[in-house]
Formats: sequence, structure tokens, C-alpha cells
Amino acid sequence: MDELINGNKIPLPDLTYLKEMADGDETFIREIIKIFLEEGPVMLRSMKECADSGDHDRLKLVTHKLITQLTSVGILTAVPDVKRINKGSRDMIDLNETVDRILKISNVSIEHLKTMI
Amino acid sequence: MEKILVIDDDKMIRKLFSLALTKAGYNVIEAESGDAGLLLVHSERPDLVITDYQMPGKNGLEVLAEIRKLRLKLPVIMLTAYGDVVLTIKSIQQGAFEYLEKPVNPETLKSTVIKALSSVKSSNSLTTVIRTDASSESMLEDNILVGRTPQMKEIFKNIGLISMNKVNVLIQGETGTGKELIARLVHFSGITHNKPLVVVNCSALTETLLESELFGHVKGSFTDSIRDKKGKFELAGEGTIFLDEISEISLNTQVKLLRVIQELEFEKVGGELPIPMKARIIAATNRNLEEQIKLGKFREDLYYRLKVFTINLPPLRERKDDINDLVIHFLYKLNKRFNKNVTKIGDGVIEMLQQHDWHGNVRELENTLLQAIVMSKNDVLEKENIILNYRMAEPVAKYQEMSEFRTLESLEKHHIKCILDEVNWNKVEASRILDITRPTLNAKIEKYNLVQ
Repeated sequence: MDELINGNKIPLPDLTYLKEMADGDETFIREIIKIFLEEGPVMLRSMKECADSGDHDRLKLVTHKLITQLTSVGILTAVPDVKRINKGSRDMIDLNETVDRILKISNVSIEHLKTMI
Repeated sequence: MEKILVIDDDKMIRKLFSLALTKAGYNVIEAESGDAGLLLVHSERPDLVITDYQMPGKNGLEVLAEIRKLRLKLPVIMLTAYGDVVLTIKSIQQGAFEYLEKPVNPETLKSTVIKALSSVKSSNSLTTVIRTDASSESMLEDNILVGRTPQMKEIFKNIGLISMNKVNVLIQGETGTGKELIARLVHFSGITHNKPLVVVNCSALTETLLESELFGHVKGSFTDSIRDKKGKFELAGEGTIFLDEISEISLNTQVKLLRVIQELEFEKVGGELPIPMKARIIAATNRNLEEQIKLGKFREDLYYRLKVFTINLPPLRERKDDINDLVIHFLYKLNKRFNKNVTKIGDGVIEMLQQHDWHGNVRELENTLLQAIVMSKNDVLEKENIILNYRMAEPVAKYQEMSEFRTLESLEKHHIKCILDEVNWNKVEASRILDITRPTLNAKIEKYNLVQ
């Protein structure tokens, strides 16, 4: 069954950017996805831990990196939320909810990316 | 093969850039921190550095600052996750070649890399045209008026002659040709060099104010004259008084000026005691005074009194062979003033400048070069940084080329903007050309939201 977020189906990762960078080279694309699958989940876990512990400074650094990582592998639906956290997590009353939404979107996308390598 | 160093603590980004640039034919080396990157700058001698800003340890700006100490010319492209105006400004101020926002579009990445590498190649292939170590002021002073064309050489010879006498001089030339520089040269190169030089812009003052400025006034001679004031003729003493835009003075003031020249004395406004006039008069105008005489706007007798010796300054378009020397002169002057280091002239730059008409003359050339120097990202004056102003060329043709009919108001706005730009936003000059008062001009500038 398709995963839903806010009642909408989570879209598949949009690999347009990666394909442009790779100039259509499949090996290149797979290599980048592999690196993301090594690093991305670690960063996402770190984001969750920082949010839970209220470590906003570290949260800013982690989300800063995540924006580029998620954009590069096309998990674009999660990016606006990550940017919002990066801009000012201290003032967010829905921080935990937002982090959970990012994780849900990213985890579904990561499962799909795993099928591509 | 050109070597590019990518510094980023994010492995995925390093790899992304590395693979993309390797595919584009470059030799790419990677570093995961600023410190590791700086070691590679030393040992691997890359041709270009692409560095992230946000990294543990040294950030991108610190890496950039270290690179500038190690290798002045090595181009650096700064990266960050998303737009940061302050960081952009700081990067460019510290000498980054470009600032890119991640994720970087592949075409933007490749074109920026090509530009950065070619800027170094261009610099290496060119000869330094000015000395950056010229510490003395003499070069600036020696070249205060630049030119090797026959017209300019003749002018220099004449200055040599007249500066040793205190004859009155009339300087004629278009706006921006350097009339005040000539006046200064006449004053400082001869017998008046250690005497005062007093400059009066005749168009900037009303008739009453101009008379008070020129001749001075005594206390109580008019409202607000609360104390005696010396005039410019008195302040000039045995030196020089430079009357710029002489054609703008009223006929009444012309009569008084004529009397000063004839009698060699004057009285302060409201005063009775004659004061001797010992200064040399240098007058300048961008108008044809003989035409003004025909129109009854300028006195013929005053004209002949002023033009004991006349210097006609040619417009820049008639001495294009001087452009090379002028560019070198302005590079030296502007580098010094704006703390830049543009010491080389790119291929085709002089030819491009020589093809332009320069309606604003040397002043326009200087302003154009200033803009190019500020925009420059290396030590080369590049064609792409030179923005030539064609707006005043063939205005009739421009109107004919308009694809749609325009309102009178939009034409007025366009015309006022053109004139203001042409005279470098000298409102006195612009209102004179437009034949409107300055308050009217100010009102129109505000109405049309015109900005410099």
C-alpha cells in the first residue's frame, strides 16, 4: 500500500538533478545514491536526536547538510520542512511533528533508492 | 589537464562534484576539511579550488583567506547550502571568483569553472602594464593629463609657454574633456605654482550669490550678510582664479567681470574701497562662445579679454590613439583609490574602447573603467566587465526603432534619464541642457523615480 503524507501519496525521488549532473551516466548515479544511503540515514537519525534533546545548534548544522543531500537525490518533498527547521527550530511549536514527517518521507524514498543500486 | 581541488566535509557533495568535473575532463582532487585542503593547495598546486563554506574547523572564508596569502591568483569558488547575502558579499570582498548555491546546476558549475580557469590563463598570458609598486605620487602627478596625440602634444607645449606668464586663458572643450585639469596644469606648472588656485563653478550659483562669491561683500550689504566676506578674486591673490562654465554668468555679472579685467581692481558687494586684482583668470566653457555672442548671451568685449590665449581641448573621439595611455593611467589611479589590483589589459579591450564614441569624453572613460575595475575578479581588465553606454548615440534612430507608440510622459522620463546619465547626474548641467530650473528637474526626478 502507498504511504501517505498529509493525505497525499509520497512521490518517488525525483532524479532529474542527479541525471543532469551525471550526464546520463548510470554508474555515476548509482555511486551517488550509494553514498547517500550510507550518509543520509545517519544524518536523519542525528536530526531526530537533536530535536528530541533540544540541541538546536547542532540541529542547524545537520539540517544544513541535509538540505543539499535530500535535494541531490530528489527527496524534494521533505526539503521545505528541513529548511524551516534550519532557519529557526527554536521557535517551532511543531518541531517534533515536522521531524517525524521528514523521516517518514525520507524513509519511504530511501527504500525506493535502495532498489536502484 | 587542469587540476581542481574540491573541499567539502560532505562526502556525497565531494563525489558529486568530483564525478561531474572528471567527466568534463578535469583532474579532480578532494579534501574533507579546510586544513586538509590547504595542505593540498601547497603540495598539489591545483589550478582552481571549489570550497564549501560551512565545514567543521576552518570555514570557507578562512580557507579563502589562507589561499590568498599562499597564492594570490588561484581562483576560488565558494559554495553554500543556500543563499546568504552577507556571505556572498564577504566572499567576493575577500577575492572569491564566484559564489554558488548548492545544489549547483551542472551547466552553471561547468561554465563557472571554465570562466575561473580562463581568467587565470588570460592573466598569465598578458603583460603587466602598470607598476603596482609605484609608491611615489609622481606618476599620478606626471600623468595628470594624458595624451601623446599631436593635438595633445601641442596643448602641452602651449601650457609650457603660458604657465610662465600670467596671461588670461580660455579653455574650450566638451563636457568631460578635462578643462579643469588643464587649468590646474597651467597653474601648478609655472610661476603661480606656489600661489593660491581658486575654483569657481559659475553655473552653480545665482547671479547675486555669484557676485558675492567673486567679489566678496561687506557686513550688512544684504540680508544675512552678518560679517565681511572675502571674495574669490581676493582669495586668489597673486595666483589663479578658475572660472568654470563662464558662459553661464549673467550679462550683468559679465559687465562687472569685464571691469575687473580692464581696471585690475574691484569692490566688494556693498563696499566702496577698490581692491587690486592680481590673479590670472582662466575661464572654461563647453559652449561655443562666438555663437553665444551672436545670440546676445555673451559680451564680445569680455570674450576677447578672456581669450588672450585659447586652448581648445579635443573630444576623446578625435584622439582615440590616447585611449591606451589613458586606460593605463586610470588603472593606476583607480587601483590605488579603490584598493584593487587590475594591472593587465585583456585582449581586444583597447580596440573595443577605441570603437566607442565617448560622448562623455575622458570622464566617461574613467567612469567606465571604474565600473569594470570594481567588477573585476582577477588582475585583468576584461571586455566582459566593460559596459559601454550607447544611449546618446543617434537618438533619432532610437526613436524610430521604437516598436510601439509611447506617451509623452514616458518619453520625457526617458529623455531626462538619458541627459542625467550623460552628464553624470550633474543636475546643474542637466537642467541647463533641458532648459528647466533645478527645482523642476528635482520634481521630475522624484515624479519618475529616477535613480543614478
